[in-house]
Parts: sequence; structure tokens; C-alpha cells
Amino acid sequence: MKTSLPKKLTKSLSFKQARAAVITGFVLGIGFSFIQITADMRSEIEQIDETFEQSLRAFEETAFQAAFGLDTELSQTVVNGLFQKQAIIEAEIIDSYGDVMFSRSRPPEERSLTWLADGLFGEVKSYSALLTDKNTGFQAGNLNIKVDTNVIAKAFFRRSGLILSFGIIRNVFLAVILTFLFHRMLTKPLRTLARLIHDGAQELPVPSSHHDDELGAIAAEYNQLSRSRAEAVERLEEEEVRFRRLFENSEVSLSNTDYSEVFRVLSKLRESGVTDLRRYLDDNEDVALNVFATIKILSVNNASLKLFEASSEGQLLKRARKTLGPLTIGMFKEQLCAIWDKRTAYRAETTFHTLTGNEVVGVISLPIPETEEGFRCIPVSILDITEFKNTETELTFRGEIIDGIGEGVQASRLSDGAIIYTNTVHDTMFGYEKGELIGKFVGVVNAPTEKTPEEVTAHIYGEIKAHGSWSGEVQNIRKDGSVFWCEVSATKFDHPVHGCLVVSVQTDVTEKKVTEEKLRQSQRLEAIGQLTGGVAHDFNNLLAVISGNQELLRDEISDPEQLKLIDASIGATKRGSDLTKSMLAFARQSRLAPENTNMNTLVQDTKSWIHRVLPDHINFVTSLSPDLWEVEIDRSAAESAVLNLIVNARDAMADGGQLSIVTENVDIERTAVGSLADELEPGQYVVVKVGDSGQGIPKEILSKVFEPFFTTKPAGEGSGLGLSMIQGFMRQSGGLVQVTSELNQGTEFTLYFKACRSTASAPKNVPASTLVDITAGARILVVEDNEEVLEIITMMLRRTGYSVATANTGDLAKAQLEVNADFDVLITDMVMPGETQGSDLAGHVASTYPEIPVIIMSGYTEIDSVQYQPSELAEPQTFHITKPVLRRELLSVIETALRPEV
Amino acid sequence: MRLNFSLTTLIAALLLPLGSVFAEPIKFATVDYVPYVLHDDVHGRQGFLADVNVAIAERAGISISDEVLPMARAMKNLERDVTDCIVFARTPWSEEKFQPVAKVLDRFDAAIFTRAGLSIVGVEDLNGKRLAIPRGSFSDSSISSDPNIERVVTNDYEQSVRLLKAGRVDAIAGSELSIFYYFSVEEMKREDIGSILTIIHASLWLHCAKGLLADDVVMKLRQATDALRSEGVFDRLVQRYIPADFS
Repeated sequence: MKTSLPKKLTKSLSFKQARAAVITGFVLGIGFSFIQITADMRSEIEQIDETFEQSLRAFEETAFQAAFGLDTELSQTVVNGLFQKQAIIEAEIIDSYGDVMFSRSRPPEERSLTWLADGLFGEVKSYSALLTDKNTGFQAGNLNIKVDTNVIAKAFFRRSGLILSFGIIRNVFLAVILTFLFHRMLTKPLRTLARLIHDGAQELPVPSSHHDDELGAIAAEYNQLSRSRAEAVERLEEEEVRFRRLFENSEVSLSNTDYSEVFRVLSKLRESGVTDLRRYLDDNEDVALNVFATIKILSVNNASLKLFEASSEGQLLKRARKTLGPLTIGMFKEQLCAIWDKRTAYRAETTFHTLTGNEVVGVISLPIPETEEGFRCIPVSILDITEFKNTETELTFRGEIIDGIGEGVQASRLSDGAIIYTNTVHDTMFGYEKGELIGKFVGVVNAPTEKTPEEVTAHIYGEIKAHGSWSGEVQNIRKDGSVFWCEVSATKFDHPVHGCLVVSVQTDVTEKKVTEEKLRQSQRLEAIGQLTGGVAHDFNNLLAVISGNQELLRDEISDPEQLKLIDASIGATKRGSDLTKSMLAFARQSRLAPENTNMNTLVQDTKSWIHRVLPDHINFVTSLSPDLWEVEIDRSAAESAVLNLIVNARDAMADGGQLSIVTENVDIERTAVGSLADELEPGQYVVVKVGDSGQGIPKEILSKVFEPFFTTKPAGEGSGLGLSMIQGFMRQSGGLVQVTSELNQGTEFTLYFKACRSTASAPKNVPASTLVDITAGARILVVEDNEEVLEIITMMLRRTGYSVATANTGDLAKAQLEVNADFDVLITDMVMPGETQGSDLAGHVASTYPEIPVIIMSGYTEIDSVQYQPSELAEPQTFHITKPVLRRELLSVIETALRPEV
Repeated sequence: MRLNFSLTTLIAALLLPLGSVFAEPIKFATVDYVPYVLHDDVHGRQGFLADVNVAIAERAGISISDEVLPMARAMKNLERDVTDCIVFARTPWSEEKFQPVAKVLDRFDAAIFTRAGLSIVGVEDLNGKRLAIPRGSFSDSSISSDPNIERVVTNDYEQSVRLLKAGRVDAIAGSELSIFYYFSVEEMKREDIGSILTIIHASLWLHCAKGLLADDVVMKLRQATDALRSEGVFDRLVQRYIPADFS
């Protein structure tokens, strides 16, 4: 192989260096010469000016004398003297009158460089001297001269020519010398080295004369570089092997791809005026496919073959277009847009088709080169994420299920209690934004009770660590501070990333607990009521015996003292009867006499007696709705309830205050929420509110005020039955009583009475107890299981003059009637042993022996406990009377039954 | 209207005297020749024409300024209305150019003065003789062009007189008053010289620029000059500068 060393001298380095040096020297020389000439010219001009100004000064005195004396001869002498200077071509003296005293001129010299002199110095230079008397300042005239610049420039041009000529000659000599020196010292050794390098010498000899200079250094550096290159080549080969192995064995699909045609197509599109590639590709669907076809895959690795299910690289390269699907085409358009926008890289997730038609999801990424050259080989990688996507979809599905279930789900780390997951229901339940609780301590949602949240968490975690799970109820706190109850079921769960977790399902059971509490309270009251009713029943029977005996005994006594004693005894029995009535009222077993009542009227009536109840320092106000609906209630019981509430209000305002009664109509909607909706049937109600501004009721006892025998009053001042009686009465009437209270603000009781629109029948009760006419000999069948009561009643009726038959049970009475139904009246107890209860018997008589009126007598109403039809009770021949019955009342009812027209 | 006229007249009458009081001084010039003007005279004399100008001004009762100028500039000043009045020899040229106002002196002749022992009666008597003539003077005279006269050009009359006194020339030519003054300076007596041959007769006049001064001013100047001349004031002033032998 030939060397590339130059053959011609003009191509040699020494010549080039000498030429460069000479040209540089020449340019610099000329430049500096011009600077020197310019400086010389400036100096010359100054010198010229100085010379001619001196000449003028030399003649100035004489010229002044000539001008002052208007001496023409002397003027001529002066001008002629100035004309001795060859450069002066015009001179004149002008007197102070402006007249030219003497003037002389001659033509300028003609020279070859006149144009240059004119350019440098001007065509003519003029100088002038003002002829002035030094003492007086009198100006006698002017001395003017004009100078030919050609004469001035002559010497200057001569000097400049010499400077330039010597500069050029010097550079020529310098060029020759430098060329020789450069060739000997640089070019020749370099040519030697170049020849050696060309011949492939690994080691260059360093000439002895160049050991310490740059040539020696070049040779040494070459030798070092040569050794390093040999080592680098060796390492490169090893690296190539390693990278090839890595490329082939990579799990990621890798390919080297030629995009140069893509670059050219896009460049042409840009040149043709396309500005919006995305729109262009959308408008021309085939373009993307055609451009894709121009891509040349240079090489692929095994992962690529596996990804696209190709048997060989050739098969994949040949059928690469089959990997395109609609999604892939879209991705490729995006890729083209990225190249179009000159981004630095492109990365996207898309779905490819394998050569066998299966779909794979992959993340394709490639760098986008800055130059066209870079597009010739672009490394493209595709990461197969099909499995990951499937897993992600499955996890998303499961997550959606967990998120969508109606319970709050929470996962926390057992190690530190940090919450790592909550579902939407959980966050909503606790009043937090989605994900807001993540990372927070799990105890942050526990309400502080007698245990701190940390203690609650520690307890639950301890149980879970010990037994693997825990369930129970926890009092939680929402973000807004409201407290609620949750039923929690927590399980330990080992997570590969988070470690041991506690997964808990939380259900808001606050409402359930309230309902349960109400049910429990209701059951308790029911039990108390049943107990109370039973006691009252038995007590009534006792009282009935006592009362009957007392009345019979009174008939036998005529001593006033003894009568007084027996009357006191009868009065006590009556008060005992009243007490049992209260107990029955609480137990909702009072015998009520409903009638149409306007509560406004009831409240207005209250005003007539309330002043006797209220002290002067309590202000009584009412606010009554003018169109108040009527209610069907036992007016007497209602009055009793209102009185009870007024008395309680009075007692709550020992220091005075205001007692108010308000009436109004309300509609309880079917959709109403809260306790009203729970406890009242939807419909129209009349509300009576009795409020005071007293001390209020503490919260802890507010829920107990309706319990029987509960009182805050001193012993002997209250029975504890007032409010429980009101509650029993209201419930029995289909209504409700509610209480609200604020400490030191006051208390308000609200009575809900079911409104009625129809006119209720008048109470069919026992007429007023007055002296009655007795139908002597009337036949009466008395049915009573209590022997003592039966005996007393029988005795009482027989003494009155009735014919009395008895039966101990309903069954016996029914059998007796079947044998002989010749009775005018049937009196029966309500609750009796055997199958036939009082109501059954009454019903049987009403249907079988309708001519026989029935008087039902009971210690309590047994409405809830005895199953008989209300219609039966509504039979016109059926009467009710409550034990203990005074003789006068019993006889009155009997006579009423016997004589319905009365 | 009548009132206005009377008022204007009154104001004019009041201002007229003030006009003379505050008027610019009349600009006189004196030709810078000895003894018409003397510089640094040991006797404190200003020069003959300077004295004349002062006398005229005082007699006329007007204020003047007096500027000493070379002859040519003095004439050109008067011609160009830079100077108002100058006293110099009356000639046809001066009559044409300026306004001759009044005669100052009859005796302003030019003459040839010979050395003692040389008597002449005419110019031709100078043939072969050395005649000192100041440069530029007598240019129109035959003595400047006569080839038979050996002319010695001097710088001024003073040099001519010294040459005559030293016997270096046979005769000198010049203004009588100037030559006489230098004779006195050189302390020469009448016997120290020969003949005196008047070659140009002239009188000395006060000239003013034409139309430059008001007529009444010119009139005052004329009257004053005439009066001074008739009173012999100017003759007496001449005698301050020339020896008694030549008065």
C-alpha cells in the first residue's frame, strides 16, 4: 500500500508552515507598515501645519506693519518672501477694510500620485494669520496662504515606499529560510514517522536529536497509544462476546432496527408541507402501514423469537408485519409522531400479535436519535408484560370487589399499626377522604373511652397474635369527632411485602345497638308492666274483697264512731285502688274511656286551676295552634298527664322561671327518620309540649325518667309513677311521650296524640254513681275464679235483692248456661283458669244468648294479654267494670245492663 | 392736535442740548509723522497736529478723539468714513475725496535743503549731487526720476538729516516742518546748511469726510479753525517744534 505522504514540495508541511508564517508575517508586516505609515502621515500633517504656521508667524510682524500702514510695497515684500517656499502656491495680505493689498499665486505641481496626495492631505491646505497689534489688539488685516499638498506628500510617499519595499523583501528572505528550517527540523522527521506508522510499526524509534522535543513525545505517545489500543481491542472483543451473550439471553425482546427510511419519509412529508402528522396519518390510514414496511429489522434476540412465537430470526424478519394489530398501528402512529416532534425517546404499552395470532402485551421503548445517521440502527426493546397485565386485571377485579362490599375493610401492619389499606366504605364510614388514612396509626379511628386508642389496639393485636383472629365491638371515632360503634372481625394475614397484617371487617352497628337498647328497655318496661299488672290484678282482687266486706260490714253498723272507722277504711281501700290504677296505667292496662277531645280546650281548662299549683314566681304561658285537630283519648287520663308534667315542671323551677304549654299539629311522614318514625305510625298527630326553664335533667338519668318508681324527689314527695304512668297512657292511646333536656336550660316533654277526624262515640262507661233503683229478683250469673271475691260479690248482690248463681271458671259458666240460660245478667271476671276466658265467655253469650247483657269485671284491662276481638267489646250489651268495685258502682252497672233504655 | 404739536416741540427743545452733551466724540486722526505727532517727547509735547486738533476742539467746544495713524491708513479711514476729520495738506486729490473745512497753515511746503556751502536755485543744480530722499516720497517729482541726481534712499527724514549733517549727502528733500524739527533735534543752525529750495508749495487744511458730520458741527469746526488761524495760534504752535532760526 502506498503511503499518503505528499510528493510535491508545496504539499509538504514545511512549505505550508513557511507559507503560513510568511503570509502571516506579510500581512502583519503590511499591517504594521500601514500603521507606521498612517502614524507617519499624521505626524507629517502635524509637521506641515507647524512649518507653515511658523512661516506665517515669521512674516506676521512685517505683514502687520504693511497692513497697518497700508504699505503695498511692504506687502509685496512679505508675499514674495513667503513664495520662497515651494509648497506655497498662493499668498495674499488683506487689509482691515477687506481690500487685497497684495496677492500672488502659481499653479500647483503636476505629479503622478496627485490623486493619492489629494486623498490623504486634501487638494490644497490653507493657513491664515490674523494681523493684530499686540498692544492694542487692533486687527490690521489677514495674511493668507495656500499650500500645494503634492509638494508636501512627495517626501512622505518616498518614505512610505521604502518601508513597504523593505517589508516585502524581508518576507521573501524569511520564507526561504523558514521553509528550509521547517523541512529539516519538522517535515523530514515527521515523514519518517509517518512512513513507519504506515508500514505498521508497533514501536516507533525516537531519533536521538528529538528525545526531548515534541517529535520525541509524539513517538512516545504513539508507542503508548499503540500498546493501549492493543489492550483495548482485546477487551472490546471480550466485551462484545459478553454483550452478545447478554443480548441473546435477555428476557427482554431486543432488536436492532433500521429506521433510516422512516426518517426519509418523514423528512419528505415535512418538506411537502405537512405540519400536523397526527392528522395526516389519521386521514391517510395506509401511510403508517407503508412506513412500517420500510423498517428493516437487522437482528433480534431469542427473547424476541419467544415473544412473537417465531421459530427463527428469518421467519420473524420475514413476517414482522403480522405482529401488527389495530392497537399496534395506533402505537406506531404515536411513535412516528414522537420522531416527528424530535423527542429524545419513545415508550409505550401496547398489544402485539404473535406470528401464531396470539395477543401479547408489551412495553416498547426506543431512543430517538438526533441525526439521520442514528436512525440507521436503533435498539428497540419490548418487555413482555402480558402476565403482569393479567395479574393486574385480576387484582383490580378483586380490589373492586373488596372496595365494593358494604362493610368497611381495613388492613394494618401488625408490627407498627400503620394502616396500609382501607376500602371506600371504610373511609366513608369514618368520614375520611379516599386513602387519607393510609400510613396513619390504626388507633386514630378508635374513640378514647376508659381505654386509650393505643390500649385498645394493643388489646386487639394481642388477641390476634395469640389466637389469629379477634371479633368484638369497638367504639370508633369519625374524622368530625362523632363516636359510633363498630362490630369488628379481624384476622391475621401474612403478606409477602408488608409482613404480618391485620385485616379487619368493620360494620357500623350504632343503629343496631340503639335499637337493641330500645328493645331491651321496652322489654324491661314490658316485664315490669306485666309484673305490675299482675300485682295490681291480685291486689285489686284483695281490695275487692276488702272493699266488699267493708261495705257489707258498713251495712251492719249503725254506731257513728264505728261508721267513721269503717269509712276511713273504705277510703284507704279507695286510695289503694287509685294506686293500682296508676300501676295499671304504666302497664298500659288502664281501662280508658276514649272520647273526642280538643287539646286546646284541655289546656285552656288547665288555666282555671293551675294558679293553685304554680307559685307566683313561675310564669305560665301558652301557645295554642288555632286549627288544632281533635284527638280521641281518655280526657281524664290526659288531664292527669298534663297535671303531672306541670307539677314536675314546677318542682324543677324552685327559683322560678317560665312554664309553657304549646299545641300544634304535626304530620309524621312514612319516610321520617329517628325515634318518631320508629315509635309512631305515620299519620297526623297533635303535639302538646310542656316545657320549663328549670335546672334540666342530667343526661345519665334522662333515659330512666320513665321507669316506674324512679324519682329524684325526696322520699315521700313522689311515687315515681307519674312519668311512667304518662308513658303507659300515651302508648296505650297510640301516642308517644318524648323528653329533651339541657342542664340549666330546662326540660321539655312532648306528647304526641294521634289525631282523629271522625266523631268518636261517647264513652260507654258506668254512669255516675248515684242511688239506683234495684230490679229485685233479677237473675245474675257471677263468674269469678277468686273464691273470696266471688263470695263477696254474691253476698253483696243477694243482699241487694238479686238472684245470684255462681261459677268458678268460664268453662263451668258456659256449661251452666247450656243447662239453664235463664239469666238477666252475666257478670264475669276476665282472667280465669280453664279454656274459656272472660272475653270468650262474653263473646259466647253475645252470640248464643244475645238477650243476656254481659258485665266484664277485671283487675286490669288485659287488652294485650287476652285475645279477644275488640268488636266483641264493642257489643252494645257488654259493659266493663274495674276491680275493686264499690257496691254502688256495681249496682249501677247492673241496673244499666238490665235497663238499657235508662 | 395742537396740543400734541406743542408737546413734541417742547420735548425736542429740551433734548437738543442733551444731544450735544451725550453725543459721540468727533473722531480725529493725526498722521504719524514727526513732528506732527511725537512719541515720548522729553519735553512732553504731543506733536504739532495733535496740538492743532486739541486747539480746534477746544475752540469749537466739541469733544473729539484723536487717533495716530500712518498716512495711508489715515487717508483710507477718512475715505471709508472710519475717521471724521484729519488735518493734512490740501491737494486736488484731497478736494475731490474729502471736504476741506478750513485752512490751518499756509506753510506746509516741500523743499530741498543743501549742505553748507552748496547753493542751488533750481533742481538742475543738483546734477551730479547726492540727494537723500526717504523711501516712497516724492514719487511724482522729477527729483525721483532725474538720472543726473544721485539719489540716496533713506528710511525717514531723521536719517536724511543725519546723513546731511555728517556730510554723506549733498542735499536732502522733505517737508519743511519735518526737516526743521530734525534740525532742531540735531541742534543744527541755519549756518549749518546751505540753500533751501521749495519745490512743492502746499497749505495745511482741516479735512472732514464728506457728508459724515452734521452741518452745524462742520460749521463750528470751520469757525474755530478760522479763528485760531487768524489769531496766530497755529503759528505759535509751529514754533514749539522748529528752531527759531527757521521760524
